[in-house]
Amino acid sequence: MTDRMSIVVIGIGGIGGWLLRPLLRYLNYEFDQPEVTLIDGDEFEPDNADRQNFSSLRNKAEEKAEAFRQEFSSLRIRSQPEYVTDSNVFRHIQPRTGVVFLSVDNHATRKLVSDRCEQIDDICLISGGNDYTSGNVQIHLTRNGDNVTLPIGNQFHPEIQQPEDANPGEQGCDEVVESEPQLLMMNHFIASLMLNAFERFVSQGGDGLYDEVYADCRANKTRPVSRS
Amino acid sequence: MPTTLASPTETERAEDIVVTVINGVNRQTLEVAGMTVGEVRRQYRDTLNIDPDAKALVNGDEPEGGEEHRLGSQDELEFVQESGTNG
Repeated sequence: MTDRMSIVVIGIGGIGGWLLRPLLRYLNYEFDQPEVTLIDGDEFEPDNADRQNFSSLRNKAEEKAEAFRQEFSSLRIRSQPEYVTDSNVFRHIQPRTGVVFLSVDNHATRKLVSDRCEQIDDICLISGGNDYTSGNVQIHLTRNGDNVTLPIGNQFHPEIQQPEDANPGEQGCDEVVESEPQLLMMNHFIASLMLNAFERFVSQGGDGLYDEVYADCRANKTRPVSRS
Repeated sequence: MPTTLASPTETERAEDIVVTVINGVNRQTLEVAGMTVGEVRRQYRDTLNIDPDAKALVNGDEPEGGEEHRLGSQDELEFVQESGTNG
């Protein structure tokens, strides 16, 4: 595979952090000078250490970009230390973007990114999220302006179509969102399923592609679903 | 070791009332044909970990009768699990 690839990873937390190293290794050896942009407005905190790897308490996108530039010197890795919002989503996700990995902690951002990807003729959005021991991965693929699979904000997922939470980049300074407890194994499981979806997209395109995959780490089970 | 086989009548009766019930990764064949969607949701809430607000699909579509829709033999009932929140 030698095609040029432009990839955006939004959310470098519990899932995104586990996703990056194998993703970048795969890109490094399978693609010709891919561009990778890491986006996150959050900073690493000591409390993240039970599930996430980091070496300094600074912006997550900047910390990871710097570390991986040294490990994968042939990749062009950029960082954007900000949340994706209404005012910058057009800058971060452009028609030339090939793949978006989305691993954020709120449905409002999922809705925003889903709507943006629906406007782009050819793009692959791979979104992962988890609760404590379960979660899912959704894959939205467009080709020549048509949906090959369902947008992630679809009629089967009203929690994304009409989100009740808030985008962290658009909250007031006095709004504090309490984070829910998470399990490292579940973050890792979802990251792995996102990579599987990416490999499937790279190798087979949209042929027979599923819309989403459910996962449960305690049952050690997954279930792919096609709804489109 | 002697085995007891179900009579054809018993087997036929079981197949007549079977519904596949799905939630997240869970997929079970249950003898619930004739029950309503709401009755299945309540009865299997704990064993299948069904969210009270999960959207119900019968054979891939939202049933017109909603929670009062009565399930038929060989139907597939899915309670659509919400997307994971955290990342």
